[in-house]
Amino acid sequence: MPSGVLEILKRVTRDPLGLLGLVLVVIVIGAALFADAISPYDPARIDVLNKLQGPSAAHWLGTDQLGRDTLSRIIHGARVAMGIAVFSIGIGAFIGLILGILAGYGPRWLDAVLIFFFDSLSAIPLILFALTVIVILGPGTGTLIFVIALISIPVYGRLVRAQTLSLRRSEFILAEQSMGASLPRIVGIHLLPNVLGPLVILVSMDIPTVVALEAALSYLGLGVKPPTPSWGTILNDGYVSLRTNPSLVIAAGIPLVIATLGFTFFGEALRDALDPKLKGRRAS
Amino acid sequence: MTPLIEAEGLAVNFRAPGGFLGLGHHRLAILEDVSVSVRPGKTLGLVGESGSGKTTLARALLGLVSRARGEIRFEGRPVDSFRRLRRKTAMMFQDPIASLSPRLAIGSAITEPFLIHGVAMTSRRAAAEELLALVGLPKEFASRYPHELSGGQARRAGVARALALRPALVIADEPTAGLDVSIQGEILNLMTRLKAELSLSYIIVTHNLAMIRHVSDRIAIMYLGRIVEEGPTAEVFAGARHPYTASLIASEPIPDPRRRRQSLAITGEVPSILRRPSGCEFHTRCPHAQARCRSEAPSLTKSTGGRSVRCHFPLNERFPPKLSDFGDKETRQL
Repeated sequence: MPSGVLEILKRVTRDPLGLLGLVLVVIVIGAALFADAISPYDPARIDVLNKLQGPSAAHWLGTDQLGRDTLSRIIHGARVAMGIAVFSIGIGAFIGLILGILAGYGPRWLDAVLIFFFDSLSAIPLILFALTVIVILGPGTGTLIFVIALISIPVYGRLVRAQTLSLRRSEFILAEQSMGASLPRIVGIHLLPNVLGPLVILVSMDIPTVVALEAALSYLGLGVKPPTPSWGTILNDGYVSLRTNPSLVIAAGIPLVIATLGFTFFGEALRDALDPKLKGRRAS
Repeated sequence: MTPLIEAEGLAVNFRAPGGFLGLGHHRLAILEDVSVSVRPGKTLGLVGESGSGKTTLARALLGLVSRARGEIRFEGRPVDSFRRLRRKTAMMFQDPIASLSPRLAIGSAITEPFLIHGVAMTSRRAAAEELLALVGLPKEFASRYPHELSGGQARRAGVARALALRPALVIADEPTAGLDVSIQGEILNLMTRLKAELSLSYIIVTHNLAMIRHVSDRIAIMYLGRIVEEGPTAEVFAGARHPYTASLIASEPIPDPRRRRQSLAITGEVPSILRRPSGCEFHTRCPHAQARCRSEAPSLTKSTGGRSVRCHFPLNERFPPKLSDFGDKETRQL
C-alpha cells in the first residue's frame, strides 16, 4: 500500500530529528547509488605526485598516501558500507523471520531447538567469532556479509518469535482457525503483516551498527580488501599519517557519523510513527 | 429430534510447562466429563465464573483446543474433520475489535469465509455490502479498519462475518462484554432477530445471568471445569437445585435502590485447578456441605423435568421450593 508508506514518511518527518535522519539517510543512499556519477575522480586512480595533500580546489578533501582522491573514495565507501549493510541485514532478517515464525507458530520441540540455536549463536563474542570466520574463509566483502548475517539471525529470530507467540494466541488468529482457514493463509495474510512492522524498525536501527562494524573490521584489516574503498580502510590509512595529514581521518570519520546518526534518528522516528499508541502525540 | 451438536464425556487438559526443553511439564485438567447438546433452533447458555472452563468448552467444541477424551457429534455424526464442522458453524470471540485482523479492511474480513471454503460469491464487494446490511451497518464500513470502529460496530461486523456462510450454529463467547448497556441490548436484539430469520442455534458463553435468562432456552452452569447443573432456563431460575446455582442467582445484582442486599450463602474464592478439592469440588464453599461431600464426588444425575444436577443433596427437589433451602431466611422470592 503506497499511500500507507507515504503516510508513515509524513509522520516521520513531523519529528525534527526524524526529518534530519531522513535527509542524512537520503544523502548516504544517494551517494551509494550514484557513486560513479558524482565522484570527481576514479577512486582507484593513483597519483603519487599529489600524495597526502590537504583540501584544495582540485581535491576537496585532499588525497591519501597514494594520491587517490579522498572525496571519491568516501563516496564509493558509502556504496560498500550500504551494500554490506543491506545484504547482510537482508539475509539475516529473512532467515530470522522464517526461523522466528517457525519457532513461534510451530510445535514446542521446534521452538526449544530454535531457541537453543539462537542462544548458542548469540553466546559467542562477536569480534572473536568474526576473527575466526575471517581466518577460515579469508577477509573480503563476502566473508563480512556472511558473518554479519549469521550473527544477526538470532536478534531478528527472537523478535519475530516473540511477536508470533503473542499473536498466535490473539483472538483474530483464533477466529481464523475457527473459520477453518488454512495454515498458509493464517501465516501469510494474518501473521506476517503484523510481524513485519517491528522487524522493519529493528532493521533500520541495525543499519548504523552494521556500518560501524564493517568500518571497525576493515580498519583492523579484516574486512574489505585494500583496493576497494571502505570508510574503515580510509580511517586506517589516515591513522598512519595522522600527524602529517589529519584531514584524512576527519574526512573518513564524518560519513560514518552521518550514516550512523541518520539511520538511528530515522529508525527512532519510524518506531514512533509505526507505534499506534504514540500516534498523534508526536504531532504536537 | 437429533441434537445439532453434541459433546459427550469431553475432557481437556492443558500442560503446565516446566523442566529442561519443557520435558518436565504436568497436566492440568481444565474440563472433566462434560456433556452438552444443542437442538436445532435452540440457544444454550454456558454460565460460570472466570476459570470455570466455559470458554475452553466453547473452543473445544470447534477443535480449537484439542480434547483428551470424549466425542463430539454434529448433526448426529461423529466429527472427524473439524474443517467440515467449521464450515457450518461460526464462533464469535470476546473482544469484538481484537477478533478482527488489524490490517484487513472490514469488507475483506467479513467475506473471508467465502475464500476459505471456496464458496462462490457474485463479487466480494457485493457480498460484503449484503452482509453489512444484514447486521445494520452502512456499506461505507467495508473500507474501514478494525481500530476505526467502536465496540458495538466491531461486534456487528463480527456477527456479519459469523453469518457469512449461513451457519447452523453460532458459538458466542461473551457477546456483550465490554459494550454499553444500550449497545448490549442492540446486539442481543440483532442476534435474536437473526436467529429467527436464519433459523440459527446459539451457544452463548457468559457470566451475565440477566442476559442469558432472556435469550437462552437451556442453561448449563459450570464450576471448575464440570457442569454442575443443566436444564431449561426458566425452570433453573425458578428453582436452582445445585447450591452453587442458587448462590449465583442470589448474587445477581438487582437494579432496585430500595432493596437491601441479601447476605450471600457462598463465601471464599474459586479453588485453584492446581489443587482441586476432594470429593465434591464445591464443598469448600457450599453452605450445605456434609461429610459425604468431602469424600465422595457426586455425578451429574438426571433429575425431574429434563434437568440434571451434580449434587448429593440437591435443593428444591420438592415443589414449590422452600425458601429455607437457600440457607437464608430472607432470600428473595425467585
